[in-house]
Amino acid sequence: MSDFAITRLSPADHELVQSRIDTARRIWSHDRVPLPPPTPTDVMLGLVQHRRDRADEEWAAVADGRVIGFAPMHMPTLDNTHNLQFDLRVHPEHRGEGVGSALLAHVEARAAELGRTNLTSFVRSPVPEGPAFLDLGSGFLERRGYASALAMGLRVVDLDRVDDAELERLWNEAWERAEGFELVLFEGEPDEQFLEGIGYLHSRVYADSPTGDWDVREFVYDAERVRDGARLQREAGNLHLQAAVVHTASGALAGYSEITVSAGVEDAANQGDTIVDPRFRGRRLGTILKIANQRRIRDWRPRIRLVWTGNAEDNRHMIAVNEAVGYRRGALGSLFQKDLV
Amino acid sequence: MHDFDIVPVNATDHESVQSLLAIGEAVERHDWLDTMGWQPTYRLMGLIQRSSDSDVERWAAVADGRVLGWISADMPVRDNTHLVEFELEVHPEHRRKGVGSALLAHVERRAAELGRDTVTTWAPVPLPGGAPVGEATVGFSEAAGYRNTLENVVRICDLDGVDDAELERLWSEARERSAGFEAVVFEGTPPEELLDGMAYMNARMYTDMPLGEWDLQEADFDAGRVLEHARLRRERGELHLQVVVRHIESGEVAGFTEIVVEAGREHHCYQGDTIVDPRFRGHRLGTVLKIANQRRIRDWRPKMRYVWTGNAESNEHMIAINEAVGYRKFCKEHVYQKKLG
Repeated sequence: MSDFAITRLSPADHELVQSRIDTARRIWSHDRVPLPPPTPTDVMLGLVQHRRDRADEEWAAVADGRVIGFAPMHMPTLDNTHNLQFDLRVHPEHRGEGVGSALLAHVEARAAELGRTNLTSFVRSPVPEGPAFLDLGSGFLERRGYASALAMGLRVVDLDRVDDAELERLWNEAWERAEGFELVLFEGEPDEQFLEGIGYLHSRVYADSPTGDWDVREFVYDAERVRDGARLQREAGNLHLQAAVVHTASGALAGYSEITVSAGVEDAANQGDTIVDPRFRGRRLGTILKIANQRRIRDWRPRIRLVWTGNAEDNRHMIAVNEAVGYRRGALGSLFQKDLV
Repeated sequence: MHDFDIVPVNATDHESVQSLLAIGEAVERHDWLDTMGWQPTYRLMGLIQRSSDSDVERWAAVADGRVLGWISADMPVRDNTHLVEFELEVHPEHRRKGVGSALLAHVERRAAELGRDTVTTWAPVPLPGGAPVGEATVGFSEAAGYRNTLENVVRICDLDGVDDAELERLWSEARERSAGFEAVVFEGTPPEELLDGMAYMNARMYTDMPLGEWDLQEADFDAGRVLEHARLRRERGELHLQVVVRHIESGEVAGFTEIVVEAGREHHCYQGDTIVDPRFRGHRLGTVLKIANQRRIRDWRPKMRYVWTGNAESNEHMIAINEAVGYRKFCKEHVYQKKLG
């Protein structure tokens, strides 16, 4: 057993921050998690960046000046103020010593102090057709009263293996159905004229796509929130590749898709939200957005091979689009949930 | 007395950090004519990173909760412990009110308290007939009792304007003269077997480059310091493209060059140090290094356009190489220095 204390991670404590970064790297390689580990840039900036849409705290279990476990927590501030989302990781050499339980008890105590009654945590687990890796989170959370509220397929596309001819066929077919729409590609902060539309589409993500038993409530996503998101990406030095389709006649933003390349990562990227306004469905706009953005990744980062994304397992439509453009399931992501009473 | 306070910069004070970033952006526009454009990652990470090379203090001039200007003082601890290298920025709207003078006087007092007697800074100055950068540099520095000790010229290479045929000719010629040497190309953390040689090359930068009257003394460099610099770059999400030339027979590192792509910068990057060991001069190794590295920038960043570099005006040999591979003059940089009496 190690003697440890739980302390809030501060950006001023240089040694602990370094230890936190090393421990995360150790966990990812030990557990063979197939998704990219958090970058040191993300970890460090996460301790000083203030976001408009949520408050963050990170707690660490420290023994002999080393971080042996950590739990970042995120508290939405504009909507879903009943929720607290956390992650929890323990150093492979300090498992079975009560570190995880102590961190979880601490997170739950903080939630109670902050008046947050809904706790969620996202856990990745292997699938038969994907790479093997360790999932200690599911069992750990289940034993402590958490239940999976939403299952997501985590899919990955290997850009070296995309069938370009098939992509071209899909692209042409989609455009036949999408007459009256135009595509706009951009990076970084969106044009002023798109901010509100992008916010609206983000607010639709969880209203329009399956959310299982997850107690998620209506999103408040205005232009200011979109602008703040762009600021955070810029401060982090990320490359934020975005695609939008505009309904030519009305000028309305009909769909939006985003891919993020984190600073310092040359070989992998993340496909974030892709959303089509329900008023403009049935025009293959999702396919157009996905293909357009995927095709330009290597215009900016020729060494990128893997792009990861996640969809609710019953989001059949988006999964079909993803599979068509080359994504294959590589892991499962489960949102575990517990209500504090 | 002045109507602002000088206070230490606090990295967790969101408002003051945002106003520091806003000053950086305004200064880039005003003093550098927005030539490279503002990117906040380096500045923001600087507030939370720590290096064992030096102690850093940052002070801000604050009035009514607004930061008017700020100064950072970098105090080397491994070598050059007589030095304080400062960077001073005053918002263009708050100049000529004594903000810069007060911040600088504060750092000079700190230097004296800490027993350091040499205070220096680098600052842009226009070339005759060139872009009007750094309009306040000369007047401010002289009024504050600083003297220019080294004339540098900043050059930019427009990769679209490079004469590829000429580059190929130079490359073949240089390869003929450099038989017996091999180029080792890598990114990020250098291979273990090169660390000692690179530490030696880094130390030689302090003694071999023309220094004018700039009082920079010998450096204490070892493999650990090279590794630490690699860690700091990784934390900042930088792409660090490096080439070493090795003397095949002895295995010794004969020369080194580096290009740095900061996180978030897609169109501008920096050519950093290039050095050849005096024992191996006369083999066109400088040309081999420069061309090998320049040619691979777009393998990583196809959208990259401009590479920036600086040389002492008297470093005719390196300047000749730079001009040959496509660099052209942009402005001057002075190294201002004051000896505290």
